[in-house]
Amino acid sequence: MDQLIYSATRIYKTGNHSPVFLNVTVGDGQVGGSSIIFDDREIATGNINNYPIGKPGDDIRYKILRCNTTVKDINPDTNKTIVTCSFIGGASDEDFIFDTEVKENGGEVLYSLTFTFI
Amino acid sequence: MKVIKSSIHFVFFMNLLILLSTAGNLFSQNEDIPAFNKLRTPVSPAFVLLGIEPVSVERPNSPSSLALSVLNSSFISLPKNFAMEFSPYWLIQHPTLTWRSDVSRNMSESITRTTTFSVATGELGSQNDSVTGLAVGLRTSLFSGKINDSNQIKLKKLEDVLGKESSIFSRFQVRITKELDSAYKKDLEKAKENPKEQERLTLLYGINQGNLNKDIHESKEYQDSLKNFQSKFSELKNLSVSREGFFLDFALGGVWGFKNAIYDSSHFERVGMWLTPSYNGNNLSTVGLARFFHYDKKSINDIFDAGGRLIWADGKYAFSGEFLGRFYLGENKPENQYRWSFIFDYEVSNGVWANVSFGKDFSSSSKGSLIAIAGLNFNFNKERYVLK
Repeated sequence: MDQLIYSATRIYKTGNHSPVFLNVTVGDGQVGGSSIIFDDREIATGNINNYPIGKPGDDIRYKILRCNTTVKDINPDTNKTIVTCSFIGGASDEDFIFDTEVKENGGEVLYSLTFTFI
Repeated sequence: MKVIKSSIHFVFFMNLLILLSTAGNLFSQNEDIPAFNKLRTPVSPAFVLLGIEPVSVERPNSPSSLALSVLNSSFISLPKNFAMEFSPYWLIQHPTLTWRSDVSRNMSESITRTTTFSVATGELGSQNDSVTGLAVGLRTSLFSGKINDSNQIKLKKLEDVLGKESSIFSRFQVRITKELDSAYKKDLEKAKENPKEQERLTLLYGINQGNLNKDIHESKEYQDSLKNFQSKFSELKNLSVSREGFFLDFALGGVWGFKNAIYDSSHFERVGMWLTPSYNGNNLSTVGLARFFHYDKKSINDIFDAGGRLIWADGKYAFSGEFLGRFYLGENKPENQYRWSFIFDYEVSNGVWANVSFGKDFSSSSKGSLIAIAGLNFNFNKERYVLK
């Protein structure tokens, strides 16, 4: 089954705080797993729940966080998929919501989401 | 909607044997009484009440596509062949509805997540006496079971597998985007006093990043790595998440007729109501049904159907019993009718099943009303007794 790709880039203001915490929520009753890359290094995979980015006292500004999340359609009621990346602990808490639709039941989409910390 | 997983082959073969054994008599005597499964709560009650099986059904999945479906159907006059079904809940997206939060549902959650509406039109009259029928139906599950423990474990494993699958892309991405990232970060830092410039740089970076992602995704090297990885987990990736436990499906619908498509000539034709409770356990599965049809014409009797089916299965053995009654209401009603049957199945060797069926068909006085069959059937499906 073919995999689709969805790309997006956003800025998150850290307010020079570290760490910030990341939640990745796969909605619409679908299932997904993520690979988190921070500063060119994979730091976490699977279900991402309140994961700390950076260590206390680090300067994480002008660094890039990549969240590659593969979502598989398991919901018989919809082919829609939706991913929310929530950052907590920066200048303000923020949710970034992305959505797209798979072409057929059981389809898969790779969300490649890039966040720049400033 | 997956109500209960069903022993498709078992039930299908059972019905087929019964039908074949009494063919000739059965079809002529009871052609208006459908099989057990056809009396259960339908997915689209409007279509059933109108007696149509539409070739194309509009299934809008967003508010805008719903509006478009309605507008495209030129509702200035009543369209003659229109069929649509939609679920209000799934017209919009639900970012916080994870599969974990949908493992079990209370009654209101079950109703909101399973309610669908169906609308259809079709010709009810003749060439000389045109009557356009408009049917409207609602279907919902008051209870819709839960995702069982075994499937929950599989879904957690699937999350890990999908995470590792995402890692494959990450590895390619890190290798290829290093230069782009480095230049972007330097430019961004230079523009730290200028938020608008930072936004512009990020927009540009996003476009380049998107193009690179597309190139990686389309590359043979990545696709080969992905397919190689996916092939190791094909069973898990083909997981079909069905719900198990107690279900209670309800449907209601009505039909109105419009003579020569004139609004003022509208009249009520019939109404139908269905209720199907069912339970799917490890060895024991059971399903009941109740269906009521009321007709506006006094010459047609109202009908109430009620029945139940019980299936017990354990490895090599399966035993099933079914009862169905049709009760006519009103004046000058025909005699009520009943059907019951028992079926015993035994796997004599791998995929080969011996069956014995015994029972009584609807009309007890007619030839062929006794069901007594013994036979063999071949079925290599391991999920023989999984009920749908």
